[in-house]
Amino acid sequence: MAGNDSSGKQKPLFTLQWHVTARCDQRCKHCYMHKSETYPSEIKNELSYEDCKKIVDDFVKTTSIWGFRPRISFIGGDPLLRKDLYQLIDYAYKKGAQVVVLGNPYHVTEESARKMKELGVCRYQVSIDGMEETHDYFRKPVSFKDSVRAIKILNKTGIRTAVMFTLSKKNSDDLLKVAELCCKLGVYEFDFARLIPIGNGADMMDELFSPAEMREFLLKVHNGYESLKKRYTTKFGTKENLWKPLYYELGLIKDKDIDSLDDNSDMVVGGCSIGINYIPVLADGTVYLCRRLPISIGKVPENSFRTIFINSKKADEMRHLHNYGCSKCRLCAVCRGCPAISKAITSNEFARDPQCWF
Amino acid sequence: MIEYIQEKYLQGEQKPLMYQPITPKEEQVFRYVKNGSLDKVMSCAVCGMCG
Repeated sequence: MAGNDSSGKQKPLFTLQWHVTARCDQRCKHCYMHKSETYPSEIKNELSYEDCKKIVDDFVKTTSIWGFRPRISFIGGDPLLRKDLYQLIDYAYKKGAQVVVLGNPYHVTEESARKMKELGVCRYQVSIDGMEETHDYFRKPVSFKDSVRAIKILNKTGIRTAVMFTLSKKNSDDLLKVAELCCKLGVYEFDFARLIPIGNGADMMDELFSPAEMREFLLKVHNGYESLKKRYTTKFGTKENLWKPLYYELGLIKDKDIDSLDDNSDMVVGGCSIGINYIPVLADGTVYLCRRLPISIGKVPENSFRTIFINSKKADEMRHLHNYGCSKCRLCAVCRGCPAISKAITSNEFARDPQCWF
Repeated sequence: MIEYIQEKYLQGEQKPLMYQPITPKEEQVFRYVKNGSLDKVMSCAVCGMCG
């Protein structure tokens, strides 16, 4: 099978996070895209369908050479605002990519959900950033109710649902309530990501936890998740890299786990996915190392993913531990904190994560 | 295009990168992803929930 290696083991995934449009029905208070440097170009120079096909071809071929299964996450703005999105999904799926959509709830209808299911979409991710009042404060009125409506339709259609929560002080008290709501709604996976104070979110510096508050919060969420896991089947993601120091302190990651991975080669071996198995592309073809870390490393389809990802000096720097302010940390090789938060707060992506207590 | 590249290759020019097999540098970059080690330390790189 194309998705397996020579020993029959399933190949790992390599993800293209593809912002196929910057157009959006919302102006969220924490949006990293709107007010960004690239936004005007993303609106003006949205890639044509023909260029998008070239990008799919290159990505699928490159990941095949590297020995990965290709996963394409179509995101925006709201990807459903692209009139040719279904064509693009169809093209990507038929080329062998696993297809995921991350979008707003507004254009999810029984018809659009059925269409996405038929075309091979395996997961649809929406955002819920708090219970109704808090969520609608961040996004727009009635957005919360619409997200719940969309989840119910997607579940009924048979597309797995995922919910992402953008964490700040403003909504932190709601996180476990939203997690439980997701469990009750039958959401497949729930996770959260820290607010990155860039774009619209640059005005929200005061909403970031201190290191001590971050630890206290994660411990509370860990215990909350453990309780929910006993009653529900929803999975809880561990995208947040600062789980590592907490798990280490709780004995859930042991020294032998780290020693078995780190071969003293100065290379990162886990944690943040920058430079490992993930690449974001903006609506105008600009390639970043992380969508929330505004450093361009190339442009597609003019250049190939292979050349950009492997030859980029910045990508190489970010794969080497000695460049990081936390390089002496026991956990650096499997964590790195969040370089996007470091960059947003200190202007240096290699600085120690300002919210890490370890 | 492929024929053109093959002809150039036969004339002694190096194949463009996209027609070469995986390089030692690429093997090194991806080694931990491929052997499943990342799963052991619960990584962002395996979650697939972006945004």
